[in-house]
Amino acid sequence: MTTTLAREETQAPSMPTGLHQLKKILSIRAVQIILVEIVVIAFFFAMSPEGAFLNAANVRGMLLTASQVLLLAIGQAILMSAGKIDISQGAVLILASVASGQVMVALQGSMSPAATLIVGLAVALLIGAVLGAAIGILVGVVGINSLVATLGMLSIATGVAQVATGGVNIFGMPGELSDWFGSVRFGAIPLPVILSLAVIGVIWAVYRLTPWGTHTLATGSNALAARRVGIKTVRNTIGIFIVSSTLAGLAGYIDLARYSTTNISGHLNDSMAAIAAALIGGTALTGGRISFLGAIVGALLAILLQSGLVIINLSPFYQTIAVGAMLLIAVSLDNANRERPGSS
Amino acid sequence: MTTDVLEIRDVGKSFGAVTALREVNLTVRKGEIIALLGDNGAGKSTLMNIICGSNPPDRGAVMVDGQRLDSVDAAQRLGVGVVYQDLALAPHLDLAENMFLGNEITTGPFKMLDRARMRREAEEAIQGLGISTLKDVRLPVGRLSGGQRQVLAVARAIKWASQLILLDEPTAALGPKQVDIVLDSIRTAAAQGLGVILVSHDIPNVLKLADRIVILRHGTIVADRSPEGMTVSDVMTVMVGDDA
Repeated sequence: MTTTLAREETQAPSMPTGLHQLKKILSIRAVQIILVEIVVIAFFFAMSPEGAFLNAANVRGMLLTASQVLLLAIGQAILMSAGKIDISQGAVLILASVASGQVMVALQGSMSPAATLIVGLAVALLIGAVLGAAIGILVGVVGINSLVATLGMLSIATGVAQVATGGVNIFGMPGELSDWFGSVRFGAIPLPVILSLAVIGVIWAVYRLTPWGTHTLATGSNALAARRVGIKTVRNTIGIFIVSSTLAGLAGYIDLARYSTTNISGHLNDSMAAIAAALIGGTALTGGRISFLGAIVGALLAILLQSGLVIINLSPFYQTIAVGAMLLIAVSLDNANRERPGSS
Repeated sequence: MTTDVLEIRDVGKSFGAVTALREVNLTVRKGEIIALLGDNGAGKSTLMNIICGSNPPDRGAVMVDGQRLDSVDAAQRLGVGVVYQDLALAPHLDLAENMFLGNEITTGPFKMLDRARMRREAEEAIQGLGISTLKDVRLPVGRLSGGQRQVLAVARAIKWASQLILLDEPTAALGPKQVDIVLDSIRTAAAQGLGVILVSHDIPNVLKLADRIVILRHGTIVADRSPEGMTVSDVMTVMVGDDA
């Protein structure tokens, strides 16, 4: 997951090898963010009463939040690597959780708890996949700009969720949803986090190790060139929107499992957070470059800031200011390094 | 046994009321370099698009190795390589990735990329053309000079072509040294048995390179001959005809 560097760059003769390696490592965006995060963690740990920032409950809470945000950030990074963007992820998450929740409430008692949970998961993923396919067709086949297409989907999905619920959150999920999934821990690690990381690991492997990732990057780098060499760019576009929205559907299911209720007004800014995480992590909005690790640590930075500010009794609103500032700094650094394209 | 790799039979193409090409007949043999010349609007681009399959003709047929070429997929299947004027390279991907873009080597049941083999074969393809300007196949194409990109695009087309390569203005905007590298690559491709069609405004170099020059005017071929004895002025005269 490290940025591709030219061989010449890695062998500058005038610099000792160790120093050069250190400089190379420090030039990686994800490493820079991790260093910032170490400072942030140390600061909040020192400032919080009795080191509460790093107590088990708070760490678990941050990890559970990360289990959802990371899925959205990875989906967004993949889209951005192809020069696309999705501002409807939060709305898809909401609609998927509403549909899944309604189905599970309706089914519980009529089938086994395990079957109810599996059907609920399938519904959440299916809603995500169908909405993703719809966006992909609008962008890839009809030719609508992805920002406009997903702006439309943001409105439609939010509206459908509100109509379906009458604007009232759904309660009464099967207790097993939390007992068997949302609240389960392996050691200190919640099961939803393990699931998210496993899914992200699989997606990274497929992206990095098969032609799919290269074709996606090529589409973002030069769409005309990609078409001319025979890459099915329309199919690729539909595919990456399906992946992204299915990840949003999974995040919706995790949301249900965490809280045992829907949150129909709580996720509308999630897409913006995911875009910011991917951008801060070094993925290019204009396509051709992606950093999975960068998107992950970019998403974690926002979570750390939000949790830390609450713990030290400052308004969490400062988090939005801090994330905005980080975003602008990161993009400014990108512009300064624009002559160094590459993928990771 | 025929040595023709390309046969264009009575091809015609119109755009609305405008006839872009009419009754075009042309053959290209193995190892032959054809220069396609003509003034702006003469029909060169239309003919190129027809030969590379992106714009099928209204009338007539394009045959490669005896099979009809009527789509981009057919062109690729029949071994026609194209170097577009915009080069069709992805700047964020490295040389090897661009060389194999759309034709990646995969291995195993999960179709995993064999990057090591792609890098090795990309190096071999570049070395096979005697190109010394592209040393590191892991370098992102965005960091190459214009000349290096041009050479890479030519090398890629040659690697995947088994019958014919089309080159659209391959020496435009290059310095003299880079032009020599590109022209040497084209000669090497022809020496390997590929037919070559070259569209270029660089007439002095075309006269040195081509085995035949084909001149289009008003959508039809007005000259198809050896460049021997021809001067730039002669070519210009045929290109513009009575319009001058």
